[in-house]
Amino acid sequence: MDQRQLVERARGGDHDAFAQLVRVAVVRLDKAARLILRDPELARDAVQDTLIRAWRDLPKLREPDRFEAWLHRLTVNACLDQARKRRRRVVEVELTPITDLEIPDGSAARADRDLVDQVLRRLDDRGRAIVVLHYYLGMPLSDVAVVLGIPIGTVKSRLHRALGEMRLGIEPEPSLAPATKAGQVA
Amino acid sequence: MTIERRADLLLPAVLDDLAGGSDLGYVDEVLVTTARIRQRRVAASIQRWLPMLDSAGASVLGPRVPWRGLAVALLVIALLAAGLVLVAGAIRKQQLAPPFGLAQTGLVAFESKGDIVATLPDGTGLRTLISGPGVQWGLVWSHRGDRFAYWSAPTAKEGTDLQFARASLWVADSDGSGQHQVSRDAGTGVSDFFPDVSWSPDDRQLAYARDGVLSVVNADGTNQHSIGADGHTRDLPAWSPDGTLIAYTGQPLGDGFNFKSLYVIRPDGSDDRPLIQPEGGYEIGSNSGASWSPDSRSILVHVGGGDLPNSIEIAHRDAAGGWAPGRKLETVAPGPVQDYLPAWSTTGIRFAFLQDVAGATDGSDVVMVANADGSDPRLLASMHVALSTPCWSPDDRFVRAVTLDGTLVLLPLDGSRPVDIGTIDPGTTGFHVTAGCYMQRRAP
Repeated sequence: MDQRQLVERARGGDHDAFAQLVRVAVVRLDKAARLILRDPELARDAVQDTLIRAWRDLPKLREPDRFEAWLHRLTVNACLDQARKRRRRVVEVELTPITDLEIPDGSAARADRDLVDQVLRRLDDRGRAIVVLHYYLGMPLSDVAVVLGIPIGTVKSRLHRALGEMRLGIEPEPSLAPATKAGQVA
Repeated sequence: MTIERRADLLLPAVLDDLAGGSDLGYVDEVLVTTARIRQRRVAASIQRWLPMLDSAGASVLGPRVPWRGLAVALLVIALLAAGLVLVAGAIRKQQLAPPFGLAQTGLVAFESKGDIVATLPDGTGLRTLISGPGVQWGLVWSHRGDRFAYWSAPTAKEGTDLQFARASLWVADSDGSGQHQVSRDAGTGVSDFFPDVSWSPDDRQLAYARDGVLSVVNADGTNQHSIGADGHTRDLPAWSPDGTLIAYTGQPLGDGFNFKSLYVIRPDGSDDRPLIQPEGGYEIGSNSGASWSPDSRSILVHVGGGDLPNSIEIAHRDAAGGWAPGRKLETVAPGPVQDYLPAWSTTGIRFAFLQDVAGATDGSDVVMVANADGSDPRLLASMHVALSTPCWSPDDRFVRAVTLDGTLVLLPLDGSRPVDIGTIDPGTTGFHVTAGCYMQRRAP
């Protein structure tokens, strides 16, 4: 059964179909939420909210083919809701590195990872959402605009700003710059 | 290899790695929960599917009058008053500031390393108008060209997100002298991407938005006050050339992303109402600001989001001063193109806008020009440009654009060679240049 059929069955109240859709999508949703929120607990809360809302509101989805984009939109909105709750706390949650996985392919990869990590930390929640939707979930910019409900111009400007922050780190060609230089940030 | 291309190659794997492994044990619990929850029935409200102006009815097109008798009485009084004025011969045409129509192009200003600098229209005569501390941006010339307004954030660093910088509004004479702070205090939330300040047509007042609050202030800094009641945010003000209205983009409070739409409000804060609001499910408004036609009878705005392509809408005032619903200008180029950032020309016979380059991975655009009714859209120049609100020269001969390497250029309407003005700010993304129009008007 393809995704469209599953979506149509889930829209009709078939919970098993919904569960199948969830199991396919949830790994990326969870990772996307962790990247945006940079807090595993908040990310889990956001994904939980997303899945509950997805089930509850699925009959309102007009186009089954847009299920993934719709789910991404719900996830991002749930993340931003969580972020707003976080901002309202008296004591700010410390943004911590998500993981300390070992990188097997050496210092260059770790430098890239550290650089992206630093840039993501500097971005606000919306900025991270744009980077994650475009570069992690692979959405075209026009779809990012749709999912976030903001003009494509805003998406472009914020993405360029994020890339601009990475410019010093990743612009030099590997052949022209030492690998360790890639991790330096002005 | 461009930075965008490198990012395309690098980021997906890095982000996946950065997110780490997921512990998805909670998913089973969620599914147990959802199995107990009943799905919502499909909303049946027909209003969701109707254009906002249709569904909102007369309350959008004119002020709602709760008591018919009172309205009749007011009408009679108004007619009597108008008659008396006519009899007394006191009626006059509104005296607008002179600079509407063609003028010479004076200085072309732009931001460089946190300062505001300017050149002559041929790119020569570079001079500094405003210098530090911090970052100065968002310059908007007055209509007469004798002053300009700008934002100043003394503690900000160039290249950072200025929306989080504490900024205040300043005004200076055209040569940079006479700098004085106009807004009483400094605050965050000023757009570093789109103009957040607009001069009144007589150059005596400024409307500005900061952190969603719309304020009006005299150009000398006196009588600052916010306008508009609570309920939604207000950004990107655009004062109509006839001085009667300020257009802005508004967004309901508590709604993080959706349903931004175009509003108009009178400068005294009255008659605050939505003008163009995209219809249907996910569609939302634009935050690219509105562009008034020189006769104040039409307004262009970018509309994006939803399942529709980003496009440009135009609304026209009818003979009675009311507003006809927005009419979408068709996208004419083939492929998945997006149109946005419309800017009416000085004479009002055409407008410029940016169009997404189909298939481009670097997010670049081209500058297009179309007739006032949207007909005959055509490429102004083949060069790819950065996202930057087009700005017409006062003589209507050029459109200002920014190349992908950060060079400010004037694109001639006759198709001749672009004029290089200067490099915005090597080493930064250069997006601050997009806030404001940077060409000074001079007497013809």
